Amino acid sequence: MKNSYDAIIIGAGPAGLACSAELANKGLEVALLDEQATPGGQIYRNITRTSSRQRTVLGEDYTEGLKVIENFEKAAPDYLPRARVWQAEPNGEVFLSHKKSSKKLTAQFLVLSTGAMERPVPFPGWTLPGVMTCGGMSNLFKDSSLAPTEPVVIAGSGPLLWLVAEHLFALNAPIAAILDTTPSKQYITSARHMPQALGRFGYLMKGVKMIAAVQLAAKKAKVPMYRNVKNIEAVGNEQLQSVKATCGNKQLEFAASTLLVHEGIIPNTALLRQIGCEHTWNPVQRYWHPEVNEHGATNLPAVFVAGDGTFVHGAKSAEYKGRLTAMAIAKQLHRLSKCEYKQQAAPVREQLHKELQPRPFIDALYAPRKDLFAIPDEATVCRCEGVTAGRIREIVAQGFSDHNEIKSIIRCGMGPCQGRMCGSAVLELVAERSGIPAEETRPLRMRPPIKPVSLQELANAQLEETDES
Amino acid sequence: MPKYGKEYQMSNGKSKFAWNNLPSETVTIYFEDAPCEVPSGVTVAAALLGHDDNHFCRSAAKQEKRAPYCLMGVCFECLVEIDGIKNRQACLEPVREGMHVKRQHTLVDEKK
Ligand code: FES
Repeated sequence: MKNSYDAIIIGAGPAGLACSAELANKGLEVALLDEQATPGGQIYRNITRTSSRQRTVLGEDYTEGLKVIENFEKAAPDYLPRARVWQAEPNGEVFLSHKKSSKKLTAQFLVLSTGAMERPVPFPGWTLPGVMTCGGMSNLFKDSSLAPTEPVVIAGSGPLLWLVAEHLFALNAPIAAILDTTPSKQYITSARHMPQALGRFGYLMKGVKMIAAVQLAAKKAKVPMYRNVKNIEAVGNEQLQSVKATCGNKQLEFAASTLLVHEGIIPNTALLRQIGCEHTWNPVQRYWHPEVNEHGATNLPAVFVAGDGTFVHGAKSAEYKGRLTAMAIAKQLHRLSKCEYKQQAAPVREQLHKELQPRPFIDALYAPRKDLFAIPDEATVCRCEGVTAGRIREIVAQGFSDHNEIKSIIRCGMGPCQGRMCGSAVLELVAERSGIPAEETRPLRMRPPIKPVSLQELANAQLEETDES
Repeated sequence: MPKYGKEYQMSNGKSKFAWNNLPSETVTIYFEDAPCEVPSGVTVAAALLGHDDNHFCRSAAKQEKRAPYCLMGVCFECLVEIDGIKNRQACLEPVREGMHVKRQHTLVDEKK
C-alpha cells in the first residue's frame, strides 16, 4: 500500500470494482478501500467465499458478481478491505481507520462508490430487537448462511421484499405472513412508464415471475399474504413478540420473533455530504442524490461518484457507471485520447441506457407512498437519541425547519449514526408540519469523523502526520 | 418443523436463527466471557443474533435494548466491544478464534 495514488476508489461494490479494474488496466495507480472483509458490496456480498448451496439459493443475479470479481482480480489494483473511511476532502485526501490505527492517503482523483441503503422508515416499535431490514436478512444469509428458525413476518414494498421472501421460502424458513404495503393505485399511476420499460421485456418478466413464484409458494405453504397493508406496528417488551397492521378495515396480528421491513432503497450519501458534494432532490423516489453528469463528475473537480450512490439504478448499471467514471478520469490523466475515450465509452453508455429503460416504471410503481411518513407522535424517529415524531413536530411548529437546527436543539441526529437513520423521516415531518417542500430545506450536514474512531486513535494519527512532514 | 442443515448450538442460549449448511470448521469466541463455538467465517452479528434476549447494546440516550437493524454498517445498532475496543460494528466484523465480545451499554471515548 502506498501513500499516494492516481485515484482512490471508496467502496467495493460493482461500481467500485469495475471502476478500479478499468483504471488499473489503463496503467494507473489505483487503491480500492472498503469497510467489508471481502469485496462485492451489498449485492455481491461475500461472493468470493459463498458455498454452492448459498449461490443456488441466491441465483443468477448474485453469481453475476463472479465475473465482476474476476475482472477485478485480473486487473489487481491495490485493495484494502476492512478500512473505515472517516473523512475525505475535495483535495483528494482520505482518512481511514484500519487495524486499530488511522492514516491518511492522497490521490489526484477520488471516486466515491459507497452505494445505497434501505430507506429507513420509522414506525411504532421499529427499535425493538427482532426488527430488521429485508436487505439485512439477505446480508446475513450471504455472509453467514443464516436463516430464521422461528416465525418471521415480511412487510413493506419493493422488489427486494419479494426477493428475500423467495430466498426464505427456498430455505424453508417459517414465514408467518407477507404484508405488501404498495398502494394498489400505484399500479395504475406507474403504467404510463410501461411502454419505455417494455424495451427491457425480459427484465420485467423476471420480476413478474419472481413475484408469481413467491405467491405460489405462499399459497402452497398456507402463508397469509395481504396487499395494500397499512399501519405496521412491532409489538413486544424489549423484544419483538408480534406484528400488527391493518388491511382495509381488517385488523391483523401475527406472532413473530423477526420482522423484516423494506421500503425501498436510497443512495447512501454520508461520505458525499461530508466531502461537500452538491445534491438534488428527486420528487418521485423522494431522496437526495448527488448532482452528477453521466460519468459521475460532481461540483468538486477531483471528486466523482459512481454506482447506486448517484441514483439507485441497480447492480448492472452500477458496473457501467463505474467504468464510465474510470474512462473520464483516464482521459483527464491523459491515458486516453479524446478519440479513444469516445470509442471506449460509447458502447458502455449504450448498455447503461438500455439498463435504465425500466427504471422510471419501477421507481413510480415503488415510489414511497403518500402516508409512508405519517408517523404516530409516540413513535421513535431518532433511534440513537430516542426522539419521537411528536417532539419533532413540536419543534417544527415552533418555526424550525432546518434539520441542522433541530439537531442542535433536540439532539435528533446527533447519535452514533449521525442522522443516517432519521434523516429521511425528519425531512418529511418538516414538510408535513411546515408546508415547506423537502427540496427547499437544508439537508443535514455530516461532520468528520463519519465512522467511530477513538480519540486515542485520532491523536495518534495526527502525530504520524507531523512526523512525516 | 422445517428441516435445516447442521444446527450449531451456542453454549449460552437458544438461537432464533440457524446456520444453513455451512462447512463444519468452527472457531471459539467468548461472548460475555462464555466460550461459544461458531462456524468460522461468519460475522460477529450473525454469531450472536437471536441469543438470549437478543440485544447487543443499549441506545445512547434512553438505554433501551437494541439489536442489529441494517446489517450493512449504517444504523450503529450493533455496537459491541471486541477485544477491549468499544464501538465495533458487529455486522462488519468476521469472527476470529479466541475473540472476546461484550455487549456495549454506553458509548465512550468518542468524538461524535
Ligand atoms: S447492524 Fe446496522 S450498523 Fe451493524
